[in-house]
Amino acid sequence: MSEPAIVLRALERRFGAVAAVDGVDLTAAQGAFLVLLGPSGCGKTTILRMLAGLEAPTGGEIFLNGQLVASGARGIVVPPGRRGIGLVFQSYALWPHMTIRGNVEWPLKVAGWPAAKRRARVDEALSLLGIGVLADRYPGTVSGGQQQRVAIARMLGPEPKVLLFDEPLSNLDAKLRVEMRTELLRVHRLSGATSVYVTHDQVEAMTMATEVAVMRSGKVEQLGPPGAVLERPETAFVATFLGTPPGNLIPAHAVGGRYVFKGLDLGPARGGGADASLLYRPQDLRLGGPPRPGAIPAQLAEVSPLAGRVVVTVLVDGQRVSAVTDRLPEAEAGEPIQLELPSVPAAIFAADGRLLE
Amino acid sequence: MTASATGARAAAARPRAWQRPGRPPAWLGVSLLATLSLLVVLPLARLVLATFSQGTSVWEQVLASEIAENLLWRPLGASLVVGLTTAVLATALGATLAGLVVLTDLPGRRIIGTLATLPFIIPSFAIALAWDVVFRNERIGGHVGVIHGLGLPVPDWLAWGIVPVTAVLVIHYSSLAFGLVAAALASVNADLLEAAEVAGAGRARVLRGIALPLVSPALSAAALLVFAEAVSNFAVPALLGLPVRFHTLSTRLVGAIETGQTERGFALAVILIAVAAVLLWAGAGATSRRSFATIGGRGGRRKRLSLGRWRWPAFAVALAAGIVTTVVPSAALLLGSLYERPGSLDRGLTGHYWIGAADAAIAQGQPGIFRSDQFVSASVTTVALGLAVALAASVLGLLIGYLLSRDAGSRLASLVGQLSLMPILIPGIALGAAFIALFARPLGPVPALYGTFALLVIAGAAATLPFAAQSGRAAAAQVATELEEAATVAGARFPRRLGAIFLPLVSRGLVAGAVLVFVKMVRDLGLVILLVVPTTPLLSVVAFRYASENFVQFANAVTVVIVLASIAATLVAQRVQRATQPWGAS
Repeated sequence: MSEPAIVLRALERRFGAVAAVDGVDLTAAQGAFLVLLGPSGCGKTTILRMLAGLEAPTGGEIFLNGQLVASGARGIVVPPGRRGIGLVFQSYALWPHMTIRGNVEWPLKVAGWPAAKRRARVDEALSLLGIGVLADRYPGTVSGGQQQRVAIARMLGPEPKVLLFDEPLSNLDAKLRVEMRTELLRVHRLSGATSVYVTHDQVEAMTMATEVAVMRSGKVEQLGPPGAVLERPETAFVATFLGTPPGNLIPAHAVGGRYVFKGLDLGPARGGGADASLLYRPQDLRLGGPPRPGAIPAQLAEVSPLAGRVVVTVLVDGQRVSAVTDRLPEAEAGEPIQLELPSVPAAIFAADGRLLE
Repeated sequence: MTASATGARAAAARPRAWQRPGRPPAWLGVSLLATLSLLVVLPLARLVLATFSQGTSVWEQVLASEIAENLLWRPLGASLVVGLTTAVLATALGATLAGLVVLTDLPGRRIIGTLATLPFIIPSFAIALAWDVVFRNERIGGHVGVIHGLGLPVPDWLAWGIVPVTAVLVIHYSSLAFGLVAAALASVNADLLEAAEVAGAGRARVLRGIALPLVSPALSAAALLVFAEAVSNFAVPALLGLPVRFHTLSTRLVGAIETGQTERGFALAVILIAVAAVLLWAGAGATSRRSFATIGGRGGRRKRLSLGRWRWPAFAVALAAGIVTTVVPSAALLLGSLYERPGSLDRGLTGHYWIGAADAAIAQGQPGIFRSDQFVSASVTTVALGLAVALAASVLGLLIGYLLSRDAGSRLASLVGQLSLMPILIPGIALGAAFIALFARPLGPVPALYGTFALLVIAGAAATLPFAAQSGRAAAAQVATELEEAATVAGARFPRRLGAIFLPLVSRGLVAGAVLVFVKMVRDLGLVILLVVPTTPLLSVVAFRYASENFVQFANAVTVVIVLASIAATLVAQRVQRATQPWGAS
């Protein structure tokens, strides 16, 4: 099927004077795992709620599998139950007065499935998530990870075409979170549905997404496969939001057609020669050695081991700069240390955050 | 293209304008607004209009004629003195007991706590009748009380008028203050008190400097509520004041309506409402600037303030207070229903007033209450009224609570919320008058309801509206919105969400609230006294009539039945509150 599963066209949601979602255009192909990534308040959850039909857009349109389900201008909002979607809430929202079987079965009752078919489908969904033995217990009596599985089984029951996830892993501990990531991807593949997943955790986004939409202030800053977004950020915000540790932006002055930072020449200026921010990746920086020309004096702030290497954070004029090195630095926290930048920055951004080619 | 996708296309082809996904449907708010207007706004408007039915002459009579002094000003003064004194003393008594029970290492805290809540379950006229059993003197003839019967003189000021009226009201309403202040104290974060102790403050300093300021909003709220209730109480001044011509606004109001001076009575009702409303508003304004910051996270186990050597003396005083306000009145009532000659045991005790057959020699030939047709039919009507009002209040409370929690911030919801609280400002007796004003004659398609059971139910629903709305709101707030949104996503529409998700989750809170409404109605006299006619007798009215006709043993016996029914229902409510649900969550 070539038709895209999800199309958002100039989608907008205003609360009074504030635009929580401010003209978003997005397309997701059939079977895609689209992650909406951004800091809290960026509008990602509002988009998810509009996809679910729990919120009405004030402008723009939403198409699911080619069907118009919401239009701000024409005042159309198709109710959630008729959109072929399923939603996993951040709090799971399991009905505490129904057993686990009851939770999974109730949406099927509402949809008018016959009893025999319903029972078979509930058993199927529960065993898919490996919680068949819990069927007759109440949600309040099982662990957080198991509740998470119930919520997913409940969503899968009516066989939705689009799966929506609202920060579903944020209430789990770190170890369980990693397990559930794998589990979610397995469910996504088995169902053959298209998924939209909201999170502020870029590691989740990078490991799960086929497409990432990085959002800020109600707008999509960049859309693309995780590798591409990480390698070729199109805005300064994306560059500093992604990566572990995220990229460093060095504010440079343009002097006589050259970028200058603390008296150091950082190369030729682009795009008319205004001040700009230069992106340096942590793995490209070098630390240590004696004070010398071409090195920036900095102060060691903190050191943390990561996957066999070391993330070293230093302060330059109060600004945090992170570097990834192979060995622990010789200096102690608070002591001076030399920072050396590579000769060419990874990218250059104008003052408004736009990429300068 | 699969079959289900074709179905989706059909659905999209006729999309419905559904502007408020997952929110309560608009008709809910509109129909609630209409219902509340009928219950609250219309009766009040009709009440005020009726006072102008003969131009301004009614108001001239009430405010400025030669009868104004006796009809309005003196009773108004008495009402204010009684109301304010009761508010101060009842709050002081209730708050002291609450502080001892909640904060200190007082022995027997459970017993003291139970004793302190009981007087509110016992109707105020029961305590008044008990006072009569103990303190009545020979001033107005008829029987005398126990003390006089022992040969000790009882001065008039102790037997009749403002002192006994205020004392009885203080006893009754101290338990209301106890409940409010104890709840506020229990929610004070224990860390705050311990921080004061760590800073080196003694226990008196901790109480005065930290605990008292923290619960001061609850204290003033309690005092205001007690004032509003006490100023409109009818039964107590009627039983202990009327025989010596001590009048309050409430007794004047009932007197005017019962003697056919209906418009005059309505004018007094309007004044009573105005007095209560002005005080509550002023009070709410004075306290609203302080926030209820006391409701914080509950710090674990609290170390109780040590009373030291005052432990047992404090216990003795608290226990004595509890016994005097609960056990003594109950015992006096029971005794008062059993002695053959009131005020003396010369002729011993008899069960005649309970179960005796009609005997021309006793009580003008009236049989014991269990053989009286009037008592039996009043019992049936009272229970039926309690159940009907409890049901009506639960339905209204559920829907109002739902609307207020799910549509918070909308203009319609806040209007409904304000209307539902309005009856707090309307004393029960004035509300009764307003319903007479509205339903004495046919109203549009509605026939004249005066004297019908239906009118009692409607008035009861209006009177218990604030309580029902508050408990409905509290219950609704405990149900997270996502639980309903999850049902919305499953395709369930409003009635189904309400029935399958919302109702089961709030049912326990609703049932407990309904039982308390039942108790309120069973022991109510002020609201129903004007609405009851002989064909719809109620137990409280039967007891009051017996008492006014000096058949004191019958009155006491009926009152004992009401007290027992109230206590039994309250115990049921407590059990429901504590009962665990199959899913184990609270």
